[in-house]
Amino acid sequence: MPLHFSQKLAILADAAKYDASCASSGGQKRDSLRTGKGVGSVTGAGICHSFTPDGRCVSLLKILLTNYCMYDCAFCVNRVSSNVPRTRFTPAEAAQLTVDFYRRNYIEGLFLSSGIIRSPDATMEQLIETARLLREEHAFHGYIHLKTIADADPALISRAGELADRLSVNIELPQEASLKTLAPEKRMSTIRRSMATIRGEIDGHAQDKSARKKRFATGQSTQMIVGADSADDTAILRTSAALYGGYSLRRVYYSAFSPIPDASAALPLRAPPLQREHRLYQADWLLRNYGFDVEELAQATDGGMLDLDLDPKTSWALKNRALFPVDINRAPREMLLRVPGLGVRVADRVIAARRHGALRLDDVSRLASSLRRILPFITAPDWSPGATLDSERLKQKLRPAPRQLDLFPCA
Amino acid sequence: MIALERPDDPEAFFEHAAALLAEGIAPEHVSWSGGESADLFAAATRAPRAKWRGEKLFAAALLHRAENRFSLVYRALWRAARAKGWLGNPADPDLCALRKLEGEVRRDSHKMRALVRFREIRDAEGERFIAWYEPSHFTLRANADFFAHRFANMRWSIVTPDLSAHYDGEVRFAPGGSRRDVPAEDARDEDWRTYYAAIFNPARLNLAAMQSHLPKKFWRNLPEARVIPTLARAAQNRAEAMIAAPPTAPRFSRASAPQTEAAATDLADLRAQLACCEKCPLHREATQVVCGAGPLNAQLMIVAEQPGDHEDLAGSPLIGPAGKIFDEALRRTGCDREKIYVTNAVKHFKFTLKGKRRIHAKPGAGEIDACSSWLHREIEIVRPKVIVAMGATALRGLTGQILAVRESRGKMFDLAEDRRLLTTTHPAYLLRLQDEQEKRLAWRAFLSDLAQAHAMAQA
Repeated sequence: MPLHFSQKLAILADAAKYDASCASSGGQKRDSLRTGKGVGSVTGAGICHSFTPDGRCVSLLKILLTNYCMYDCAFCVNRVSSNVPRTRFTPAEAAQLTVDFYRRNYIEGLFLSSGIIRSPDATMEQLIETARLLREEHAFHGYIHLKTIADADPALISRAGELADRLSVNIELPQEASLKTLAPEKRMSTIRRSMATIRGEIDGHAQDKSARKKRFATGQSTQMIVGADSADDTAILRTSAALYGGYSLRRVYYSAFSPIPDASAALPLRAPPLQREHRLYQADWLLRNYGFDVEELAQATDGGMLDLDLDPKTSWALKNRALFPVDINRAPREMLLRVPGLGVRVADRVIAARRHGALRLDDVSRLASSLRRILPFITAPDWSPGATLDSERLKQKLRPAPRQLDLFPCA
Repeated sequence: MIALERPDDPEAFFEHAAALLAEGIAPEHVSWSGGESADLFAAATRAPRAKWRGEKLFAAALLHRAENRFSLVYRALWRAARAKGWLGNPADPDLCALRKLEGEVRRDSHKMRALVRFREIRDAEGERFIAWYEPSHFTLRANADFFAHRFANMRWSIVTPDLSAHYDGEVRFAPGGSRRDVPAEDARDEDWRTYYAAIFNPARLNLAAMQSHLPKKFWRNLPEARVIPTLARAAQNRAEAMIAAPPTAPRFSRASAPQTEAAATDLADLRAQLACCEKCPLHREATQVVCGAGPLNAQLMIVAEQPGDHEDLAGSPLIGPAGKIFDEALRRTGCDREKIYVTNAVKHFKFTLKGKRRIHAKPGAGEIDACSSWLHREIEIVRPKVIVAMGATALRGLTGQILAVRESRGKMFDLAEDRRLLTTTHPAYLLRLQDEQEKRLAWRAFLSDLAQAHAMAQA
């Protein structure tokens, strides 16, 4: 019996939900009013249009064009040996659905991926056709994120970049050896090569100052599954750092390996390591925005694993107590950014405020949302942490009261 | 007492404030109201104004529902006019209070852009999209433009309790309305709920996180919120069932294909084999193997050290900064790069990470030696008359020995089969030299070495 439209939608969304990426930010600004036709806009800032009961943001219509797949990646719900029901959307169906959802303001745009059917090139062509229909037939100016099939022809990757705001190739696993056992058809070198191609295209378009400059995707990202193989946090972060360095990725998404319907015998089944995923996101954030070197983060781990009870910056500070306390009125920006509980925005406000006179604790408390984690690591005219900083019990004290974690990164 | 006609009109407020400031009226002598007691004092003076510093912050804070927003902003303007640089101190309590208001208004705007849900209706002129929304602050007017730019080819209305906005090619504002003005359901809502339910992963249930982003007060106007309780209730059972279900065996054998190292008869063969090389650890981090490039019958083969950042990304040898120097040297010596074969002693990029940058690292002896068999097979296939070793790594790869470039530079050696080897410096060395005099000498030597090799190859 042929599947009803909504059954197909349910299958193709279910098949896409293990991809953690949800960002709709950083696209090239444009809108339908200025263009004079069609619908849609990209402002540069992402919007989360809803949140599901797992606390994750719904920003884009995230679906697979088809969940048929020739590959047999053990961690994937869509692998060829899985017994899940299969279906497909035509590019026209997917494009129409995107526009219909967009016009009701449910979404920012489309995140389209696909199982590998017939060949990587044939699959990529279907994804491109969907994006082309949206841009050309529907005059759709909203956000489009296309998953890039790693083995596809570079010319197709380039074409995808002309239509999309973001491209991504999933690295899947942090180590080549894991890929060999868990995703036998995939190869790290092919994945990296696709990332290099995308980077080359993005850089080339960004440097193009000519008037006839074509629009092109402004960034690429990737996803790594955490907890399906034996790689520790240090190995994962080193892989991320190399990816940021080599291919100018906007983001590496971490996805705690989660039980899936009809799981593979090749993998252990257990609850997803959500807290570990959360700590990796925090460490990744330090890598990208706080001037931390990956080896400094490695050094903040215990035997390669980040502390699950403490955020990585606090862990690092506790292992480098000799560098603290820092004088809130004199410390340079790089050092303020190393203080647990002091974020980029607060550090910049501290720097601006202290030009108007020495900051006392009272002033700091107005600038920061909470003093609890900051206090042991700073001095002010009316504050010194004294012996607390050297206390054995400081780690216990800084441990947060148990609560459900939050902060799933999005938009 | 200044009574503003509308609660959401920062411009009117600014003009009144300009007039008051011009008259030197202190904040403690002014009281404000916005829209509540309209036209009682409507004759209060307004003055044209210059642009304020911090205007964005003030304009946003003025859209807050807090009654003291006007007096707070006026006091800030008053203080800013009297103490130069006062606005630049983020620790000032008044500014902290304003920032708080501004933050809440910003979030309220953001939520409106995210959570407005249009329903399609038909009126006399055709299809129209209409939404009921309840903002916490006076944010509709300031955000109407966003919707106009986004939904330019739609006719739409957003109705809130205080104000409604209608768009038919242009935005028009009208008094507020009620929930009953808007249909409760849209034809696509059911598909949206289907999507929402399917994209949720029950193994990750976390209602606290969800509610911190999407507090319950929003739920009643969201079509998808209706299914949240059901999804949450069923989540644990679904997750446990997935874990308990018997796993499926993988379909294919997971043994990776054996790596054959049959003799390569041509470059294509060699490339294919090289692509799978795991003789040393460098393949783990590099993007790709960078093979040599050039014609099969080249008389001259150039061996450089190893691919760098550019070469690694593009997959071609000697194209980065050192490659530019090399090309310039070729041009000066009248040598055509199309006719020579250019390769590296080590075929994978080696680097260390510094922050986000990949910094070139010298290959170790083990890596050079592991790669030298590939180099020798390239030589067997291309059969050049002359080989130029650029730098110590190339020299080691070709001879298997540690030789100082300084001592062997510019000299010809005989290799097997009548092949000649000439050693020169690596072009990257020229880039690194600081002393101008030294640099000139090294450049001249490099040119003469290349010229010598070129002449020899053509002889």
